[in-house]
Amino acid sequence: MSILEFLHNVIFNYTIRNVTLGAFGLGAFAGILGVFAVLRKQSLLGDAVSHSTLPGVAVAFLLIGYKNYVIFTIGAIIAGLISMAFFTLIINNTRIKSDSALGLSLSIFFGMGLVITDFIKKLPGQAKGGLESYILGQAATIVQEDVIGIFGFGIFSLIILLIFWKEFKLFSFDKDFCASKGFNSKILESMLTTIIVIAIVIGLSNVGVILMAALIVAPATAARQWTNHLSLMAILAGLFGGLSGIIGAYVSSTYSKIPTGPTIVVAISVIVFISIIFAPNRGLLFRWLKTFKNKRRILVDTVLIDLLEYAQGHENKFAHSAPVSVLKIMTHGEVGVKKSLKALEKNGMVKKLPNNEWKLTKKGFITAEKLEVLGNKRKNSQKTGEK
Amino acid sequence: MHEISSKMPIQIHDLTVAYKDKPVLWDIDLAVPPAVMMAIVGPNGAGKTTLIKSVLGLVKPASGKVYVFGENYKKNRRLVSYVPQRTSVDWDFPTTVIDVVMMGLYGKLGWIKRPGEKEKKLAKQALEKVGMLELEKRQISQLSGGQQQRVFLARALVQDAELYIMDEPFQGVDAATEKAIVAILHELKNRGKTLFVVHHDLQTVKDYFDYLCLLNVRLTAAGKVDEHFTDENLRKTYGGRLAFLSAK
Repeated sequence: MSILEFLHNVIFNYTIRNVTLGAFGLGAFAGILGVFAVLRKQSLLGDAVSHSTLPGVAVAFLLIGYKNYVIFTIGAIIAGLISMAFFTLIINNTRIKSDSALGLSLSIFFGMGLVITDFIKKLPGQAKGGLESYILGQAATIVQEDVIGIFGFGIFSLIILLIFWKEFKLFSFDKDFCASKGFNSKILESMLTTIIVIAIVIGLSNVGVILMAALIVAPATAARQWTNHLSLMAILAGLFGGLSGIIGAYVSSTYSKIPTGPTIVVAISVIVFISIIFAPNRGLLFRWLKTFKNKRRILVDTVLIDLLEYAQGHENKFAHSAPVSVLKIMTHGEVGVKKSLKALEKNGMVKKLPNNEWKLTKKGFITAEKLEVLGNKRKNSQKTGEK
Repeated sequence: MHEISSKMPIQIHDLTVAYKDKPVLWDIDLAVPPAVMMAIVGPNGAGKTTLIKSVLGLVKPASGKVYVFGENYKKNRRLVSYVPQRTSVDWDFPTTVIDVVMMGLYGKLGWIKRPGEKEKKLAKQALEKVGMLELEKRQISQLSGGQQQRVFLARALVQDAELYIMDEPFQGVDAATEKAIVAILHELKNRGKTLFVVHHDLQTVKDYFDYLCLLNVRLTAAGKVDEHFTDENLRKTYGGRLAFLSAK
């Protein structure tokens, strides 16, 4: 299916429209709502919550006997919150550390979910369609009610997030200060946890409990690379998440055997990868370039000082010149000595003599001496600092 | 205002705090009089941070009472400005200098209400006092340790409080910043404000503070620096660990 065909289908084809809108919505909402989870370093919590929702969905199915988005979601939210309460209980009453406690609640709840799901499969004569999709996610089963559900829950949490934006921000940045100003930590903590649980739960039927945590963490991680502003970070995270949702819907509706969830996760992973490498300031490429430039600058300074030291070792220092080979030895075989000399020549610090040796100009002498004094000062201050 | 200034800024009665079954503070009785600058001094693990957190209601005591200007902290928290340890927050958080200073006004704004132009103006004034106005738009991860501490101080100043509770405001700052911060703190004291400050450097206690309390789980001494900052009290507080530091 070409992109144009896909766009045509999004408007006129009932299934593809629902799949695409649903995937876009869950990506965008999970992306925005995940920002605070990432900033509070609770990515692992997202994973635990998402796995823990499975028994809630399964029990909801057992109770009503058919697939219903809203009821399933409520079941998932309840299970997610119970798992968080269980986690808090462990932390507060035992010596078990938080990572182990998360792992514990994740496996216990996910295990229970698998057992109940398996039990339902063996029940005779039930319409079991849709329950399986909660494990790995399958968008083909999405109907209009699901889409309405995704947007309903998503917009609800988004409104909460906007209303308490200031409080959530302060709480995530400086918890103690926030509490000292009268903002109740317990209330804020449970509101933020609930929001994260909802963010996870709305995507379950599309992406599945195993991969949903990625959609909470990845968009925010990618967005953080591009901006230093919290609000812009949330907007970018929403865009990245929504975009990968659409990509997932497009790919899985074009190739019927490809599941939506994993495709969405692959798409957002590519965005994260690009962001980590290419983002300005925080990107790896930018940092490498900066380190490289610094190294170059230091080498240029070193060569200049070496020339001065070499000249000072001789009687008529203003007339003395040095061959490249000597400078190479003085810099301990660094590559780029010649390049540094050329750069210095451009600035009028050194002059190349007809015998291929290099000597300092007057400007070069003055600069090199200044650098040397500066370097000695720094060395001395380090020494006194050690005392 | 008159009423406030005549009341004892901090009064602690029989305070005991424990984590699980280990006591961190044991039976503390302490009063901080108005318009003084009191240092909280003691070895690592003495409970200094816990002491100020109990005043701020952040830590639940096992027993005892804490009064701030004669009332429960909750009633008078608008009169109190808290500066946590600089290292207690993530300085890579996506926000700017002026934004952090405005956070100081969130308490006055209360729930939901957003800061506006008035808050921005106040934040700028506070930044000017600490010499950081040029950096107002700077991302906080690009600040040096000293600049971070100045931002925290500006966030405290913007609240225009009566009592300033600070956790190691000189930790990891350069000499120039330390001097600047001390000058600001002294100015606050001269304006009748009270300061209750966790301090690590015994060498500077006499120069910076007029009151102190010596703490090592129990309170070993409290009162005027001139009277209580003695070799004997330090030995009592630090035990054998005080090898070459001396009150002289």
